[in-house]
Amino acid sequence: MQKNKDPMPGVWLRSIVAAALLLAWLVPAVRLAVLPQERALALAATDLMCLSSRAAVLPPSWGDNSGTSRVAQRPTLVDVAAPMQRAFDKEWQTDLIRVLFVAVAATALLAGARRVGGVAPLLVIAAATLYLWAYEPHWDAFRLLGVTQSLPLWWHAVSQWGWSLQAERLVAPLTVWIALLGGCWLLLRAEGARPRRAPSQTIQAPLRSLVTKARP
Amino acid sequence: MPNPRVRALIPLFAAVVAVWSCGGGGDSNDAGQGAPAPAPIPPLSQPPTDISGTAAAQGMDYWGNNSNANGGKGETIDGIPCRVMDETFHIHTHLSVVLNGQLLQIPNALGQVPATATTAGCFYQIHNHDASGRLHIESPVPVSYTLGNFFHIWGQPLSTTNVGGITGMPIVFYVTDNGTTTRYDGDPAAIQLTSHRLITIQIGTQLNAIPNFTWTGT
Repeated sequence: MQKNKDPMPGVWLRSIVAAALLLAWLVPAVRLAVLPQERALALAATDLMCLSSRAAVLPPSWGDNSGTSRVAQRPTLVDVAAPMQRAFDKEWQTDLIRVLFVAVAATALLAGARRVGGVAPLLVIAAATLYLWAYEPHWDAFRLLGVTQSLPLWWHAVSQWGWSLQAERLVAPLTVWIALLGGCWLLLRAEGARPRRAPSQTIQAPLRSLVTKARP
Repeated sequence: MPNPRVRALIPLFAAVVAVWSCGGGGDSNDAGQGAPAPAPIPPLSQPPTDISGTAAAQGMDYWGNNSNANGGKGETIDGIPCRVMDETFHIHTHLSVVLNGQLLQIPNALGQVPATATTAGCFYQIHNHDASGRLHIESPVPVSYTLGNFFHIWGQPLSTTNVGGITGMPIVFYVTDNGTTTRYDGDPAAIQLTSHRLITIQIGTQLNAIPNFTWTGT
């Protein structure tokens, strides 16, 4: 009797791989909260400060539309940010599409539905590869452990990084590889467990009848 | 009983052990005569790295992007104001911090208070524009600032036992002017930030070479 195997075995394994994938993508996902306009303003503030020592950086409320004062000729933060907005719109949309794709991959894997069971590991592999390609994980946090040669000193450095750098450099480099390798393993398991058409039944049965007919 | 040949080697082995344990096999030629001589000054690395303009980050990130949380926020520090830049006097000094042979990155945008939607930004007269380690000293009039001033603006400690929070390891300061490196044994906070000076802070293991940087202009 043929045992009907689940093509997506191991709910725990699937959960771990999905969680690893989501953790790897945590920072890009959270970064979506910074809207294109805010990104443009932040860059404009930095650029304005670096570009010119004589162009004062003025808050928008200082903008003087009368055109009579000297102050009115100086660029405001909003003026400088405006041309950058389009590029940041595109960047933000790209980020959004990537994060949505990751969410679909993780959901498919967690759902473990048989219809999408074979596709989910492929989606996870694609999402992990996309992270590796788009963000180039930093291994500095781990290399720093070798440089400091001291756990307290290493922690002194890492503890002042802030949560986003910690997530990007400590968590993501590990979890993205867990997701990638886990996805590959699930794909192999799913292939191995997939129910095949039993050739023995389809071919052997006519053969058997032929044999019985040929018997004297 | 050991072989006679082996027995003959025992005194020789004992002599070698005795000499080694007394330090005769090491490079400290003044064993038993007080403090060891200071290590020789490492040569400058060649060729120098060009960091003209806005250069790439140099070294491994240690302090991250939030290390100036206790630094200047626009208030006057050590008599140094935070204003719109005036480049009438504009020189550069380079700072290298090397931990166990690994160059550490000096974070970008130190000494800068970015503008927000409601407040104007400003620059301290000591600041940087990248993570290359090059420090800008910009002022309407010639000024003489020190490494201690820069660390105050950064908001990190600086002493002979603590550099940016790194403690518990031997720390040596080197100053390179016009290609000549000297070891600095005084108060590190008093090291002057002068044009084209290379300041190297060695923490932990001895350097093989002093990091060497060059840039166009002052």
